[in-house]
Parts: sequence; C-alpha cells; structure tokens
Amino acid sequence: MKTALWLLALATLLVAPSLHGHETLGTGGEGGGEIGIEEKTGQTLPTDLVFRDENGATVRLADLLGKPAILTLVYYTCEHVCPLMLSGLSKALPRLAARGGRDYRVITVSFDETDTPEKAHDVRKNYIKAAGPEFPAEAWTFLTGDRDRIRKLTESVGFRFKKDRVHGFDHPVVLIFLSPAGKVSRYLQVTQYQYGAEYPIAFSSFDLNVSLAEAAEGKAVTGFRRALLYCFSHEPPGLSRFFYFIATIGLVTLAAMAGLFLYLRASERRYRRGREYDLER
Amino acid sequence: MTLKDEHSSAEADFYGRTGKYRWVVAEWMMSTDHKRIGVMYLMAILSFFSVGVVLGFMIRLNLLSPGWLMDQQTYNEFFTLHGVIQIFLFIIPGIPVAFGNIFLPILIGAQDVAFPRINRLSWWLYVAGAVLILASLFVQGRPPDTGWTFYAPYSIQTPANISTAVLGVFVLGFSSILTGLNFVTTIHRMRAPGMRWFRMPAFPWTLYATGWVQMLATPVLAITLLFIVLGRFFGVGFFDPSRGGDPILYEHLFWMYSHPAVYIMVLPAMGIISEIVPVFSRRVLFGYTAICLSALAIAAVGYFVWGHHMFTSGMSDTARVIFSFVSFLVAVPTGVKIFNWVSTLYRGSIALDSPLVFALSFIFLFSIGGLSGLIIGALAPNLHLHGTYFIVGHFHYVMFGGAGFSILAGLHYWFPKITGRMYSEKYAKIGWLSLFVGFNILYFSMFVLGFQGMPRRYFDYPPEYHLNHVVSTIGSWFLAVGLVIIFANLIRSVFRGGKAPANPWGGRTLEWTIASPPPHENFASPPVVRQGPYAYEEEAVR
Repeated sequence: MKTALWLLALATLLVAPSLHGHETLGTGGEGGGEIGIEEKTGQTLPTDLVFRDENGATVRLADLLGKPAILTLVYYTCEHVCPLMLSGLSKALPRLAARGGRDYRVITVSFDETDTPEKAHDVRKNYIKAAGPEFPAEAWTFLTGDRDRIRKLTESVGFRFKKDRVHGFDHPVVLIFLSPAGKVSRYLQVTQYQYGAEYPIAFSSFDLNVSLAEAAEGKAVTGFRRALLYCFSHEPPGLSRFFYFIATIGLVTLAAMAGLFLYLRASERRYRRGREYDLER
Repeated sequence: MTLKDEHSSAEADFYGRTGKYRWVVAEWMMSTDHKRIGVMYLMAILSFFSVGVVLGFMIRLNLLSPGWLMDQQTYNEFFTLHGVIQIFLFIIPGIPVAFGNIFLPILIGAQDVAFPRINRLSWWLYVAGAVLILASLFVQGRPPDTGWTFYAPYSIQTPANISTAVLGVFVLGFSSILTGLNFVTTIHRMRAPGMRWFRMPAFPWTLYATGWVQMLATPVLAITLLFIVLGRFFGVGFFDPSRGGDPILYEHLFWMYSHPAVYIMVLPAMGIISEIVPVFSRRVLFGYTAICLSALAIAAVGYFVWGHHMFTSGMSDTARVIFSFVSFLVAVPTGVKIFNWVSTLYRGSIALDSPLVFALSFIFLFSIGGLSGLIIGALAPNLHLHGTYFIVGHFHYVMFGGAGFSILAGLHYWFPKITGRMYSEKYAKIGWLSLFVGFNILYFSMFVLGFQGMPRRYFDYPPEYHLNHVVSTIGSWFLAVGLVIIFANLIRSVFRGGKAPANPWGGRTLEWTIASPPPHENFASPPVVRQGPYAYEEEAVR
C-alpha cells in the first residue's frame, strides 16, 4: 500500500508540469501565443539596424541587401533543429539556378544576445564547408547583435521566440525571403521533418528558385501557411525530479546491498566460530 | 541415518516418499528440500525450453520463404513469445534455479540452503509468473507482439495483452531476487567445516556473483515494468513524450537490468564449464583464483555497459565512447576464463566424454559470441550492424551457444547424480554432432545476413537475402533433430538407463562423495574439507 502511494505521488510529479507545457505549445502554433510567426509580408525591415558579422566588424543590414536575401533566425548554441535546418540549407544552396553572392545573399542572425562573433565564426565554418566550393563563402553572413536590435528585427518580421526554462530557446523554423530593398517577400516555412534521413530538413531547389526570383522582383507572396515546425528543447522539467527520485532509490538500494554484505560477513564469523567451523585455524 | 547406510540407501534417496502428503504432487510442491525444488525447476525450464525451441523453429520455417506460413501479426507474436519464454522462463532463471538449487548446498557441504522455505516461495513465484505469461496468450485480446524487450511507447499503445505478460515477468523478478538472496546467504553461512572461500568449487563462486547481480539489478526491471502498467492503466506518461516522459528513459531502465541479466545467464554457465573441464582432463583448474575473481569482476563491470544496446537511440558522443570502452573491458575477465580453461586442458589426461564435448563446444561457440560482441560493442561497426541479423546471430551464440550449451553440458555431467542412471554415451554424441552442426549453420548465416543489412524482427525480406535465410532454416532442422536425439536419450535413460555409480566421472568435488541420487539429508555427517576442490595433482603426488 505504501508503495502504491509512493507511485501515485511520483505520477503526479510527472503529470502536473507536463500539462502546463502542453498549453504553451498549443497556443504557440496559432500565431497569437508566445512563439510563432505573424506574417508581415510586404512590410520593410528597419534596414539601418547594425549587427556584428562573424569577423566582429559592424554591418548595417542595408549594406548586406541590394539583392534578394534569405534571412534565417537561429541561435548558435542550438543542438536541436537549427543545425539541421542550416545543414539542409547548405545542401540546397549550391544546386540553385541563382548564384550565391551575385544573385542573392544568405543572412543568418542569432536572436540570442549572448552569442558572440567568435561563436558565429565557428558555426559558420561548418556550413560553408558543407555547402562546398560551388557556393562562394562571402555570400553567407552570420550576424550577432544586442538585445534591442534583435527585438526590433524579429518584431519587424513577426518572429516570436522565448527563452526556454531549462536551456535554449523555443522558436519557429522558417526561411524569410527579402527583396533587394529589404521588404519581406515570402515566408518559406519548414513543415516536414524526415526521421532517419541524412538531411531530416530538406529544401527543394524549386521552392528556393521561385522564392528568390519573386523576392528579386519585390513581390509579396502569401498564403502558404501550413502546420509549422518548431525548434524547442524536449526536456520537461519533471524529468529532472524523476531522475533525482531514481538516483535516490538507486543509492538506497546500493546502501542496503552494502549493509547486507557487511552483515553477512560479520555474522558469518560468529556463526561459523560458534560451530567450531574454523578448524583450519 | 548412520554412516553405514549412506552408500547403500537406494530407497532413502530424495525421490522417496516422505508420507507427509497424500498426493505426490502436493508432497513435491510443499517440499523444502533443495534437491526436489531444483529437480522441479529443471523439469520446468526444460519444458519451457522445448516450447521456446518449437516457436523458434516455426519462426525459421516461416522465413524459408516470406509470409508463406504466418501473417505479420502472427509472426510478431511468435518471435515475442519465443523471446519472452526463452529469456524470462528458461535462460535467466535456468542454471541458478535448477543446477544451483540441486548442487550449491552439496558443493559447499551443507544440508540445505540458508532459507529453505523462502526457496519454496521462489519456486511458487516462478510457477505463478510462468502461469501469468502463458495466460497472456489466452486471456482476452491477442498475445504480446512487442518483442521481448517491451519497448515503449509501443508497449504502452498496443492493444495486445502486455499487462498480463509484464506482470508475469514482474513476479518472476521476485523469484529471482529471493533466489539470489538465498544463495548469497547460503554461501556466507552454510559452508562445511574447512570449506574456506578459496576452497569452494568455481560453480558456487559464480552463483555468488550471480546472486548479487540478481538482487541489485532485478528491482530496476520490476520498477520499469510497473511504469509500463501504470502507463497502460492510468495514463502515467513516464515514457510518453506527449505527457512529458521519454521513451529513451525506458530503454535506459530496461537495459540497466537486462545487460546485467546477461551475466545472470552466463556467469553460472561459466561455473559449470569450470567444474567439467578439470574433471575430464584430470587436472587442477588452472588459475582457479583468477577464475573465481573474474566472475566478480564481470558482475561488477557488467553494470556499466548497458548503453551499448542504445548506440543508435540518441545519446551524447561522450556517453557512447565511454560505454563502448567499458564494454571492451568486460572482454578482459572473460578472456581470463577462456584462457584458463584451455590451459587446464593442456597436458591433461583428457577423457572425451559427452559432458566435456558439450563444454568444449561452449568454449568454441561462446568465443565466437564474445568476439562478435566486441565488433558490435565498437561504435563505428555498431552503427552499421545495429538492429540487423548480426545482433541476432551474436545473441544466439552467447545465449544458446554459451548458456544453452552449458546447461546441456551440466545436464550430461550431473545426470547420473540427479537421476542415479547412466545415459547412452553414443546417442549423446550423435545428438551433440547434429546440434553443433545445425547450430553453426543456423546462426553463422545470421552474421552474414546482418552484414548484408537484413534487419531483425522482419517477417519479410527482399530476394537478395533468400539464400542465406534458406541456409539458416536448414540449419534449424539439424539443430532440432540434435535436440530431439539428446532429450530422447536422456528421457529414455531416466527409465531404462543402467544404475549410475556414486562417482562415474572421477570428480573430486563433494557431490561425488555421496550416493547417486543423493539421500534426503545430503551428508550423513558434515563433511570436513582439507584441500581445494580439484585435488588431482595432490593425489598423484601422494
């Protein structure tokens, strides 16, 4: 009976916080909640915002534009979906009809204000390498910035994210196409995650080619909204309490075993001496 | 009982009626005699073994050509039951409950185990667990179809009868824990005068190591299975991501038990081999101390390797590298044992009787199983071979080629002592030959299939795997014929075999100093031990 009570208590530990987690996620997808995308197609970014590039130099967004651009918003310490999205992108870029650097740019901005240009430099190396020699390295910039500027940028494109209670950020996964003047042309939302594939998040060359061509003309294209993929750390807070519980039980069991061994060892001497069993001595 | 009638008491052996109960069945079920309990266990595990073999045989038959015999669902149920029966009802309890119960007290010169009534309780729990598992086949719904691992989340979602089967395994776990506790206490307290720790035969040593593993690891399985039942009945989401749980947590908990469980099966098997090899080569067990201590070392290191079952499940690289490295460490004490057995044989006066033939095949097959384990314990090849037939091949070489063959070796070694009858040496060897040849055809082709990429657990396959599947199935026929010959020989000998002398093999351990079959009280007076267990050389000098 006591065991049953214990298990019931344990069960509530897990159920209670996870229900709460469910709610946050549910509203996030609707566009009105804490995380999600509120499309601002047709609006122009504040292009005078200043960020730091991967070499630590200050850059204005306007300096990077002048040709269509693909804007991705990630954080560089992400271990979940961001790296997969960037890998998928680096795989797709060299195969496009348009040529990177000449016809378009890729701008990756970290919305984590603690990310540094050094970190950006490290992260960028991988994706440039993955894109291969076909894709000119200078066409892909990895920016970092301070809190205010990040907020201004993400709000201007309707990108809502939040800091996760455990670690990292919860945010949507999306490519934003910008016209040469900095107008939001289209949101290409990532909707599919292919489990087990080499590149679980893949972009079709067709989608990218068309979107870039439309962005180059300054068109505003809407109406592609589908179920959106989110990047969030999947570690409910109840889990750590569960691990403490398991660890406690484990230690108690180990202590009980050690106690049993010592008891047997001690009583063995008494028991066997009492019966004159130690005749070898 | 006096000393005089110790060797002449054919009527007073432990099979004789005590007259306390009217029915024989009741008398045996209520008995606290470790030999009777052991014999009942032995009959039970061998019966389950035959059921498991038939199921395995049907699986192989079905794979002769995909889908000609069973549909997917039936196939899933067959391999699940094959696994559950062979693992939880046969091979995990196997050696400790059968040979351990019959021979542990005798080998250390005791009258019985430390807690005879707890021993009887373990037996009842075993029966109850077995009944529950068998009931899961017939009660409402369909038989379990998850594979023997009961992986979440499928085990929480499937409409099959998981709860009953899992409850059965849960009850078996308690039987196992109590047996472990009993044996450990027995070895600490019940040793005969002069039986020091390092005068114990190797088999009790391995049972000692196993006992601790049973006590420490089995509760983890119990709690894990309880979580599954809670998940199924009360919707508690320990392993369900949508409720804040984690399916990988299940894998961790499951393998935290199930890897040490491998040593519950294999350590006592090594103990049996360590008994047989010196007797049939008439030599002291080479490196006796190292063999005894390596059992403890395997038991200890075995707790830290469970992650190697989950290299592809999602773990950090650091964890994978550490698990892989520690897995390699297990090979060291195992290698110590293999080399010591071979060294024992070296320059021995070898009598190639059937127990030794089975023991030698154990060494051969277990080495293949162990070395293939290193291939998949290494990270890079594991990523290719994980979840393929290579794993199935490795697993059967270790479990069947290892633990299974050692049970057969022990059966042929101790059969005269248990039954008081001799069996036909000729048919034992014919059966062995067919079994050994069939075994290698059956399971070696699985290594090849695994390298080619055939995934395990599939009821269907593309044509390029056909040849090896056919070869493997043909192997299963030889294997089955071998087992039939072996067991027909033994069963016939129970009734028609010639009377066995007290010591047919020239063994030096204590069980050979008493009558075959042993009397109720084992020893008329407590034996006094003045030398180590394998006193061949001392005698030659004298």
